[in-house]
Parts: sequence; C-alpha cells; structure tokens
Amino acid sequence: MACEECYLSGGEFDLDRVSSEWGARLERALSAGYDGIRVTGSTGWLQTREWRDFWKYEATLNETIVGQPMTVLCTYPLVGSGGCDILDVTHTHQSAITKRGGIWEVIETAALKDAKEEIRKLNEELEQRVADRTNELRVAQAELARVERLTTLGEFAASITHEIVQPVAAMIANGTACLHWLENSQPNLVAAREAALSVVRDGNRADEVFRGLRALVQKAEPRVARVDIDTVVEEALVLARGEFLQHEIVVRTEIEGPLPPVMGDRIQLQQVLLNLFKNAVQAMSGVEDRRRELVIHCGARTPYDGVLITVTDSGTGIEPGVREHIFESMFTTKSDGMGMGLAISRSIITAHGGRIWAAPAEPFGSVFHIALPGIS
Amino acid sequence: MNDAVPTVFVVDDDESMRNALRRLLSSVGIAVEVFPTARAFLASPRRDAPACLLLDVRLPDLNGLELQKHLAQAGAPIPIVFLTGHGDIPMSVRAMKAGAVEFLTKPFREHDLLEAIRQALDTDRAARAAR
Repeated sequence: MACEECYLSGGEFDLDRVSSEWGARLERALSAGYDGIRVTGSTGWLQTREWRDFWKYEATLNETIVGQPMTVLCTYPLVGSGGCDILDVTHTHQSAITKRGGIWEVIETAALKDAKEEIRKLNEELEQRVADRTNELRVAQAELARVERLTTLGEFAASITHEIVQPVAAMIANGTACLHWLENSQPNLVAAREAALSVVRDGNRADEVFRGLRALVQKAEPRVARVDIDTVVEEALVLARGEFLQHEIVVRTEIEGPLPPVMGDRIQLQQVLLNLFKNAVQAMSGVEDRRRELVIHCGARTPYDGVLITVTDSGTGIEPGVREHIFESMFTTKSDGMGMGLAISRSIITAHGGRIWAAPAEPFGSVFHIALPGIS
Repeated sequence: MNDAVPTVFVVDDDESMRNALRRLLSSVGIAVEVFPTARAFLASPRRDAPACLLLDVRLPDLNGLELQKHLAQAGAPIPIVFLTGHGDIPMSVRAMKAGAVEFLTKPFREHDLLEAIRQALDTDRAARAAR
C-alpha cells in the first residue's frame, strides 16, 4: 500500500493509530494461518514536521515488536539526512545497514552487540552439550551393539568352535602324517609336502574364522568404509556355517552381480546378517515336514544405485500382528531373547541410510529385506 | 580270510578333514577309503575283509548315528569309531550304547585314534571268525 495512505491517513501522522493498525494486521495474518508478517516501509514521505512523532513511533514499535512474529525493514534516504537524524534512526532500530563507497556496513547498538554475544555463548554451550550427549549416546549405542554381537556369538559358540576345531584337527593329523613320511627309512617327500601344504591351508582357514571373530568381538569405533556386500555375506556365513549345519539347514547364496559397493561398517553389517541368520535358525528349528532352507539373495537396486539383500527362510513365519513390532526394542516372542537384535539391526541399517523390513515368504517362512544406498 | 588287508572307511563331509585322515592313516600303512557322505559310503561296494568305520557325527544327509542304526538294521555290522567336532556327551552316550567302539573328540591324538582303530579291527576280525 502507499506509504502516505498507511502513515498519513486523515492527513496527520498518528502514532497510536499506526501502531495499533500493525497489531491488527499481525492478528489477521496469524489467524489466516501465516507464521507472521514482514513489513518493508519506505520513509520517503516523511517531512521535517512529522519527524519527532515518527521517531517516537519507531522507538515504540522497536520495543513492542520484540518477541512478535514480525520483521520490519525501514529504509531512510541517507542523502539529506543530518547527523542527528542518523543517530535517531540507529537508536530506534535494533540495527542499521548503510551503504558507503559501494560496501554495506552494519551499525549495531552496544546493547544488541552484547545480546548477540550472549546468545552466541549460550549457543556454543548448548552445541557443546548436545555434542557431548550425542557422543555419550553414540558410545552407549556402540557398546549396546557390541553386547548384542557378543550375545549372538555366544549362541553360535558351539558351531563356531566346530569351525575352528575342524581345521585344527586336520592340521594335527596332516602334521603327524608329514612327520611319518619324513621319518620313514625312505622319506616320501612328495607325500610329506602335500601334507605340509594342507597344514598351511587349514591354518589359513582357522585364521579366517579367528579374524572374523576378533573383528566382531573387539571394542572398536564404528568405521565407515567402502564395502563389498558379497564379502560381508561371505564373512558372516563363515561364522554361521556350523550353526546351519547343526540345524540341518541348507543355505543358498545368490549374488546377482556385479553389485555396486556401499559405504558402511563391515562389522555392523555382518552383525545384522548374523542376527537375521540366528532368527531364521530359530524360526526353522521346529520345521520337520519340509526342507529347512535359507536363501540369501543380493542384487543391485536399480534405479537407486544401491544393494538389496534378502534373507528368506522356510520357517514358521511371523504373525501379522507381531510383524509391525519386531523392530521395536525390548519386543520379543522368545523366552530367552532380549528383544534387542532387530531393534539394533534397524538402527544400524538406518544409520547406513538404508531400510530394513520383513514380509511373509511364499508359501511359508519370512523374508527380510535390507536396502542399502550406493556410494554416489 | 583274516589275512586279508584290513581297510578303514572314513566318512566326513569336511574335505580337508577327510584328506587329513586319509594321509595320516596311509602314512602308518593302513589302507583307507574316504567318503563325503553316509550315502556315498552305503553305495560303495564292500569287500570281504576286516574293516572299520571312522564316522563323523555331523553329516549333511544321514548323520553318523542314523548311519549306525541303518547299518545295524541292514545286518551289515561294521565296528564304528565316532569322531566329533565338539564333546557332545548325550550323543556319545547314545553312540556307545548302540555299539560304537570309541567316541573321539576332534582334535584327537594320533595314539588314541590308532588305538581305537586297532580295537575296532580286532572286533571285526573276531566277529568274522565267529560267523
């Protein structure tokens, strides 16, 4: 609207009238659902005779709009303004901006500077506190995740032991055979060499299991790096293989490659898989009338440039009313579970920018989906 | 008949364990035949000679205890030495009750294995002589 119409309605500048009109406009804007109002006022209409009244008005408005959802930008012509006018303007506004030599300058009152400094300090303190708490929370979450990993590994202990005992037993047998061949009155070096090579191979095999275990057990900060999902799946299977064998579960891995790499923490992703494997073993432990089968499928997620992993079991499945809650913490259908496994799995996948969900498998069992974003 | 060369049959699904047993027994002059599954062993022709079976408890198709039962029911008795990756006491009790010669936990000592095999072959020789 025209400035004259707003400020000089009735021919005179009336401080109270103009102030109350702003109040009414603000009310209207708020009741119409707006967050507030923005006022851009030009003072080009001002004459010397109105200056005193206007100055008072500006001072009053400056006080009253504090805390109101209202931003006011007033413009004054620098040309023709005397020194006193400029002082008046800077006093009656929270801050002033002026252009000198083509460069904008901000003029602030000392009180505003103090207030800003105070706010900055408070903000800094608050940010520090938030950072401290976030860090504490992160450490606590990492520790909780580690405890959950240890719990899962504890449940796998017997079968992991088997995975270590097997190559160790083979190493001892091969080593003994090697000694026999060498100690023979006519040493059989070819056979001895073959046995020694097997010792090395089995040593590496046991080491692979040890490495996997150590990585899952150690107290390490989550480390995000480029990971290949097929390797993660393979490493998780090394630790779970014995468990599947013991429960007579046939495992099939389908890699629909090539898979794009993802950014993530290898150990945490393995943990999620181990958790799903553990649940699948439990879901299939009572199954007698059909094959106990676990299918791990990995494929690229076109057009999202990520990876989709599905873990399908032929177990008893999840009741529809239960399915919505399985990812909640402390929710469990088992007598011996903490109910943290899937909750932690979900927080891990969410932290990777991904999503995890469960669906019924056909004709029976469950299928868990993990969608992870690609690197780009 | 008792002069025929005795054979030790090994059934273990773990390839490296299977080969390790084959090498170990060959290195002390024992004739060995190895099989990855219980069914592969059952499908193999049997010679008329003293023999014993080194049997892994956990097998993918028919497990060790089931094979033991199967052989007993089929009237094809053969002394069995069980091998297991972990000391499963209830399982060893069941195996011993069903007539196993020995139940060894991996990793086993050479001496214990050879002693169990000697005993198993003696058992088989005695059973053959009585038939």
